[in-house]
Amino acid sequence: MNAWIERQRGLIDTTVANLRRRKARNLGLFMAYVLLVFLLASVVLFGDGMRREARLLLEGAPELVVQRLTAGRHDLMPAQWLQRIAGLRGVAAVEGRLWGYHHDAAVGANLTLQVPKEAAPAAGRVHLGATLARLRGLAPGDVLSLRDHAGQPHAFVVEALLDSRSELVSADLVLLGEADFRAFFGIAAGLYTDAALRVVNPLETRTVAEKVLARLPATRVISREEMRRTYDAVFNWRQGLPLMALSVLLAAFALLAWDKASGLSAEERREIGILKALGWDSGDVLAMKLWEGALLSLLAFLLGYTLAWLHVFYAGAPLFEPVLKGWSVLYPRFALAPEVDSSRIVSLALLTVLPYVAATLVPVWRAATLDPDAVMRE
Amino acid sequence: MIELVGVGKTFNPGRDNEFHAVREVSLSIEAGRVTALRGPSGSGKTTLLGLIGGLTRPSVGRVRLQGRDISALPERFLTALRRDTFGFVFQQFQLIRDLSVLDNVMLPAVPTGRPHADIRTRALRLLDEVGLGRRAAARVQWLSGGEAQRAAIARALINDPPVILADEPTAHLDNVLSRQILEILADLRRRGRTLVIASHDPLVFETDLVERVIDLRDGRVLTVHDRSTVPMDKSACRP
Repeated sequence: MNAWIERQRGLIDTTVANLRRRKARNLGLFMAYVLLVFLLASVVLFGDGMRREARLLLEGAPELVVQRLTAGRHDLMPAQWLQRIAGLRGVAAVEGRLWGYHHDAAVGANLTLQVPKEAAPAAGRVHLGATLARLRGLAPGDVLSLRDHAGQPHAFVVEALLDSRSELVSADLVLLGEADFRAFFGIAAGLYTDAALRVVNPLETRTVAEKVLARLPATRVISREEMRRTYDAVFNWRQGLPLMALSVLLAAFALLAWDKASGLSAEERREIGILKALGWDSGDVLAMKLWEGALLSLLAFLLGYTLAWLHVFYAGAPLFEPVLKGWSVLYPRFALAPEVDSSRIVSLALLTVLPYVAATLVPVWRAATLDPDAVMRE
Repeated sequence: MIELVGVGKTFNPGRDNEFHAVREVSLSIEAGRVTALRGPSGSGKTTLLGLIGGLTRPSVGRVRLQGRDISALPERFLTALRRDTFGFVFQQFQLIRDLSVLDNVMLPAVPTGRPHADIRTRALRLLDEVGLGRRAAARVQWLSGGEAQRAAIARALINDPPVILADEPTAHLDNVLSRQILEILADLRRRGRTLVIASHDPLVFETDLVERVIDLRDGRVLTVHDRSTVPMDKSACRP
C-alpha cells in the first residue's frame, strides 16, 4: 500500500513538473476551462436559485385558483359563485380575491394593486414594494398619486414598505384596502377578481378542480402545481438563452481541449517513448496523464464553480440578471439564498471533467502501447 | 549472464520496406565485464543493444538473462526488468526538455514506489558523483553536451541496475569530454557493473576500459575479440 501511495506521489510530482513545463499553454487552457465552468455553473446555479425561490413562494399559495371566463377571457366573479364553490364536497375554504394591474406612466411600468387577505392598510393608505418605492423615490409618510379608472387622481399615503426579502414578487406591488381598491378600479361590491380555494385533502386537488368545473363550466381552475410548472418552464426557457450563447464558447473550448488532449505532438510521443524505455509501463504513462487531466480539469472546475457560486449568491449574478430575471421594467433587487446542491455539482463535474480526461487518455494509450525501441533508433 | 541464441530482428516484415537489422546472432555477455559492440553505422549495434535490454523483442531466436528467457515475457514483466536490471544511456541523451536535471534523473525511479525522499537523495548523490551536483536544478536544455551525457549516466544509475547499456556514449563529444565520460564508465566497471557499449569511436577502444569487442556488420557478428586473450585489431575502428 505504501509503495502504491509513493508511486502515486511520484506520478503527481512528475505531473506537476510537466504542467509547469508548458506554463503558458497549460495556463491558457486552464483559464479557458475556468471561464467555461464559471459561465455554465452561473447559469445553472441562477436558474436553480430562481426556481427554488418560486417554489418557496408558491408554498404559501392556495391549492386552487378559480377564475371566471367570459368569451374565453378572465372576468370578474360574482360573490354568489363563491358560495356555490364553498358548497362543494372537499373544499375547506373559499376566499374572493381582489387584485388588478395599473399602468403607471411615471415609471413606465405596470403595477400590481392588491387587497391583502390580512392586515390591509387603512383607507387612503398603501404598502409599497421596495423596487417601486425606490423608483418613485418614496418613503413611509410620502404620498403616492395614481390616476384611477376614470382618470381622476387618487392620493395614497405610504404607510410602510414591503419586506425586501420578498422583492422577487413584491417589486411592483401596491397593497391597499378593499374600499380603496373598488373605488380605484370602479368594481362594484359583490364582485371579485378570482377565488382562492383550500381543499380538505391535498391529494384530491384534481378531483375538487373537476367538481368546480362541473358546477361552474365558465371558469378555469389553476392548481398550485400548474403554477409551479409554469414558473419552471419560464426559467428553463430563460436559462436556455444564455446556454445557447454559451454553446458557441462550449464548442470553441471543446475544439481547444480536443486539440490539446487528443493530438499528441511529436515531442510528447518522443517523451512517452523515453519513459517507456526507462522502465515505465503503459499503465504508469496512462496514470500520469490521468493525473494531469484530472488535476487540470478538477482544479479548473472547483475554481470555476466557486467563482460562479460567489457571482450568483453574493454578487447578484450581474452577468445574467437581465436575461434570467426577465425583461420587466422594474428590476427587483434580491439575493438568492446560497445553497450547495451536491447532485448538481456532480452532474456539472461529470459534464466538464470526464470528457476532457477521456479525450486525454485515448491518444496517450495508443502512444503508450508502442514499442519503446524507437527512442534508441532516433 | 546474458545470452543471445540465434537472434534476428526484422522491421516491417512482409512490407516493401522490410529490413533485417540483426541476423542470426548468438553470443554471450559475461557479468561484471565491459563488452563493446563495434561496427559502422547500420551494422545493427543499436538494435542489438535494444534486444539485450528488452526494449524490443527478437523476430527470431531467444534472449536469456541468467538463464531465463526474456524474449517472450509479457510487456509488464519486460518493463520491470528494464527498470530494475538495465540502465540505459542513449545516443541522443534523450533527456526530457524543460524538466530539471534532478527531475530527469529521478524519472526511472518514479514507478518503483520507493519513498520520494530516498529517490531524491540518491539522485542528488549520483549527480554529485558525475560532477553535476550544482546543476541539479538547471533545465536540461541549458546543459553542455558533456553535462547532458553525465546527467544521462546518473539517470541510468538511479535504480542501481547491475547492467549499463550505453549507445554511442561519446558521440557528439570532443576528446576531453569523451575521456571524462569513459572515466565515469570505467569507475562503474570497477564497482562491479556489467557494461555493454555500442560505439564506433576509436577513442573508446584505445582505453583499457573495453575487455571484449564484438564486431558487427550488416546485422551479423563478424568477430569477437577478448582483450585478455587476443590482441585487439584496431584497424576495424572506422568512424
